[in-house]
Amino acid sequence: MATEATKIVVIAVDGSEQAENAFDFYVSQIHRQGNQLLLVHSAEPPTMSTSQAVMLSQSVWDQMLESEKEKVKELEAKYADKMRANGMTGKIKAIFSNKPGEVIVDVAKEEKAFMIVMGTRGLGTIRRTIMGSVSDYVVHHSHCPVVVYRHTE
Amino acid sequence: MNARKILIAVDASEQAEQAFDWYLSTVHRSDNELVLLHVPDLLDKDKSKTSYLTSSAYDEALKKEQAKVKELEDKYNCRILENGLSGKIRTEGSSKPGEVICKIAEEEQAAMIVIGTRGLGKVRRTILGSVSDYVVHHSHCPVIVCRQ
Repeated sequence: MATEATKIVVIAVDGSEQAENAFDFYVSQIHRQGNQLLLVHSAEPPTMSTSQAVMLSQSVWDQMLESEKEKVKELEAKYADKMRANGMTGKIKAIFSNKPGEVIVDVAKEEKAFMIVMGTRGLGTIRRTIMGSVSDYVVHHSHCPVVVYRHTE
Repeated sequence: MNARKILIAVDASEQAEQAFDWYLSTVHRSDNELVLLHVPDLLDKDKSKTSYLTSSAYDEALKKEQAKVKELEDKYNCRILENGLSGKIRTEGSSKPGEVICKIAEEEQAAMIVIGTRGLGKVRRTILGSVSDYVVHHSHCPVIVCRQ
């Protein structure tokens, strides 16, 4: 074939161990030569209550943002290394949002991904990830197959 | 090293076949062993459904059902042979397919479960994809939910 459509796999990552396990699982059990990875880091912007916000000085807020950005950079470096170590081609997209499920689904649609890989527990606010509701959202709204990594140990 | 077992939930629907084909073309590795699992809602497990039938009508219905089960098993056994795969198909009748799928995946120590979102089950249930929902929430191993 002259040109084959690039096969893009979206992998949702955050700083959690489960996301890393999901990534490793994809590498060892699912990956095929020619698949291109698109790691989507959908991070929550730092939050605080309005009463706190009133008390906070600009510089403290700036520090919070900076440390978030640092975390993102570290994560990107870590996964870039992992991809390189496994001889894979891929990119990482970091998007700050309160709606990680929507972000993952939208990016997968835009990039015409043929598969999404994700865990059920991440670093998000406890109430949400205890139900695995980001993965729930993605499973219900995705336009392509979703690999839901679970490991109950 | 033991072969990895992949459990693929199937029924007579086209979607199940699509999920199977997708798995083969996208994920399958030659040393994977397949366990195809069919969980139909079988007549004789639910006496209340058949209590109104005469015994001959019941026998008829049972025969038809068994024929359908056999048809599905034959179909997938053929697919397995055609593709040179290592695998088998199991039929376990139950009105709780989600539970059975999870239970058997554990029994077989499956490395992952492949399941579609729409099957042939009663409409009310599959509109929400609730069998795949159940499996995603209760599985002991990763689940690939095939949506197209």
